[in-house]
Amino acid sequence: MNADPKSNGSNDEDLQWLERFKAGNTHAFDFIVRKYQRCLYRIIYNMVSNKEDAADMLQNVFIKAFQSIKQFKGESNFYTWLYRIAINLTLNFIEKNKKRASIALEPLANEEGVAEFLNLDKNAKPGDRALLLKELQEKLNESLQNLSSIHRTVIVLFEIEGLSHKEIAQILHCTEGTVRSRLHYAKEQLKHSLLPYLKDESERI
Amino acid sequence: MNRKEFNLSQLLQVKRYEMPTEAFWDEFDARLQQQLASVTPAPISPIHNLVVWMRRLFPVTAICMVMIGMLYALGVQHPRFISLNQPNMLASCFYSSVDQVPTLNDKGIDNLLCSQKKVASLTANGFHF
Repeated sequence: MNADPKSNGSNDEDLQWLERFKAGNTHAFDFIVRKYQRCLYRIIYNMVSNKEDAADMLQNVFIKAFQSIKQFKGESNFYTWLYRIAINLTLNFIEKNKKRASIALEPLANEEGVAEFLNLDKNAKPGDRALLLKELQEKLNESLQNLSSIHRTVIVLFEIEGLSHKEIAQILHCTEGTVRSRLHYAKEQLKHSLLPYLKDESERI
Repeated sequence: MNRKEFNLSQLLQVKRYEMPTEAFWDEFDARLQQQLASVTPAPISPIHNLVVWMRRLFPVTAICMVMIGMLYALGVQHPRFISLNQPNMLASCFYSSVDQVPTLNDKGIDNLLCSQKKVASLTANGFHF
């Protein structure tokens, strides 16, 4: 299960499961876990760039949510509340582990799909394509890690998770203007780092 | 192969493909279930609740028992302290401290004498108390 948290009725569905959980049905929490585990993993992983740390962090996120779920009053969407827990825990983790940060990347789940998505030359040798993809993956992670943690958060939520400015502002407890400003700065930094791979002059600084 | 053929958003979308295998999620779920079970408080039986309340009440009960014991011991050693027939020790302490020892006024003495006369006349008429 990998539902889009922004889909229509998703929050109502979440609230129904939450009511069941609060009524004592602990299995209702499994639904929440299965629904959000992949997108939360993606957020955490792209912020820490280490798959083992991301898995441990995700466990902590669900435990924290499990323990404090009764404090959720329904004033915001459930996924906003859950994403906020994930981001706060991850930012704390990054802050505490600045000096021992290490990169351990996940392999690309579907290399053929990525090659097609990027419109890579179909006539190129598979080995060359794999090498280019590996190179792109490493360069992307390196560029993301060079951003400050708060700029990285905004880029991950907007560009990778596809959240709107408003949703990001709700999650980060800031204004939409702040989100736009951070996003602009982060994109400029990324363009500078990824210059050798960008095609349009407009994409360059 | 041409490297300068992507835009930024397109490149960042590659990150969506970096995902663990299904086997990872199976292991993840099993581990999470264990951790959640360890942080879930066990259901509390009524007997357990009673024991908890008894433990909470024990110090209060013990203090009350000690105080009653102390008062009783004080009463045995100093009967006037709690005697109802004798002038009360505590009351005496209080009145002496504020210099207001109670005295019978004239009306009280009259009432007392009147009562004594009534008792004497009843006794004389053969009534035995």
